[in-house]
Amino acid sequence: MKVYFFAFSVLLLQIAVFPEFLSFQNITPDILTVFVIIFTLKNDFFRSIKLASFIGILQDLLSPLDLVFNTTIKIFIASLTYLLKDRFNYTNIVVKGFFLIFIIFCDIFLRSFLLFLKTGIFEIPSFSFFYILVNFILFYIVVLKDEYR
Amino acid sequence: MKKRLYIYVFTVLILLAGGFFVVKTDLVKSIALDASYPFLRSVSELKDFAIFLTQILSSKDSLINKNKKLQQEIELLKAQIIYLKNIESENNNLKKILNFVSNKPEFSFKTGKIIGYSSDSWNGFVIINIGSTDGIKKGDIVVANGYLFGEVYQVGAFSSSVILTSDKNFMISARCRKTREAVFYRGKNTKEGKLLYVKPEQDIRIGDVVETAGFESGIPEGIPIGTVKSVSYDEGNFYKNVSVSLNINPLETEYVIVLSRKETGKK
Repeated sequence: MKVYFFAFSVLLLQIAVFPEFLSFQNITPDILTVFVIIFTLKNDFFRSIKLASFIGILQDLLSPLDLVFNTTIKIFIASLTYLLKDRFNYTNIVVKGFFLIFIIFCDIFLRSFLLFLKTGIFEIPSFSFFYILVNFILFYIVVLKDEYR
Repeated sequence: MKKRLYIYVFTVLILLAGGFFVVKTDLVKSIALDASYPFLRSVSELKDFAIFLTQILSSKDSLINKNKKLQQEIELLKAQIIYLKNIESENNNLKKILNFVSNKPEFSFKTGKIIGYSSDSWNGFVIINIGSTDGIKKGDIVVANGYLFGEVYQVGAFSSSVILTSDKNFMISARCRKTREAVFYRGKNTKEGKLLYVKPEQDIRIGDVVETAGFESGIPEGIPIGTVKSVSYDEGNFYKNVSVSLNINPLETEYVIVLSRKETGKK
């Protein structure tokens, strides 16, 4: 229950605080995606997918679009992370970095594809590189903090 | 292995169907908007307080200068109001002489403060601190810095979410100010939008202002959206490729104005 409350708090911070203070070139790091990846790396499949769908539904509820855009993406990310995590020595921090880049890239591709289904415009946005970079930095900060602990 | 896959697919489908049902329900969405309102409002108040503290700590001279500039601006605006009132009365007199019947709807103006932003960089929307209790309705137009900012998409009791003109899902009928060519505008990204279905014979000029056409009910005409940035042709494509540069930045905008159509009581 604690983790759900924490996720809800992070979502509210993501909406109210982070865009103003953490955005770089108008790109805000998706802390919730990073949170889903880290949670899935440490937990079993069904717990991860439950949390991913909870976060996704909350995001979709606050978004003006009547789509399960974020729910689909978060479930996909949790599934992909779980599927790949046992195939790598993911305790190695460099491997973790590549792993994150791959997952965030899949995240960008899926978002663009879902938007294409809705609007008919397929475009990998120009800010994707910054988005990967910002999420990468955030992921490393969390992981390093975790390891020092 | 097969059984696990079936369980996975079944679970994902159940979660997606549940999510779809919840997200499609307007009532649940407005409850979610209202539930997040106290937190968003508190954060906004805290930010204002922090700004107030930094202003107190900053030098007095800069505050005095800023105040002087604001007072000058107020005086200028007052003079403009007097000038516009004269024009309004002249316009009314001319209308009387011509027996002109106006069918333009009237709008009320409400000021809202941005208290929340989109949780991802793909969807362009903001949350403002006025809702149905303030008379805001779905479809109301939002203006900031003299440009079209977006449209109210979801209304809660105390807050509303506004889809921005830069969002890919934002579409509105528009026209070019100089040539009066009617077009469709659609958002593309934070810096630009595009005009849709522009025929080869339509006169679209670079630098021309694109504004709302007011074809949809409840949307006033003549609100600028952006300026035409480029016009090009794609081989094999019947329509022209027209991109429009936008002047909105939600992170730098604090207050917005919501234009709400007044109920006249006519059916």
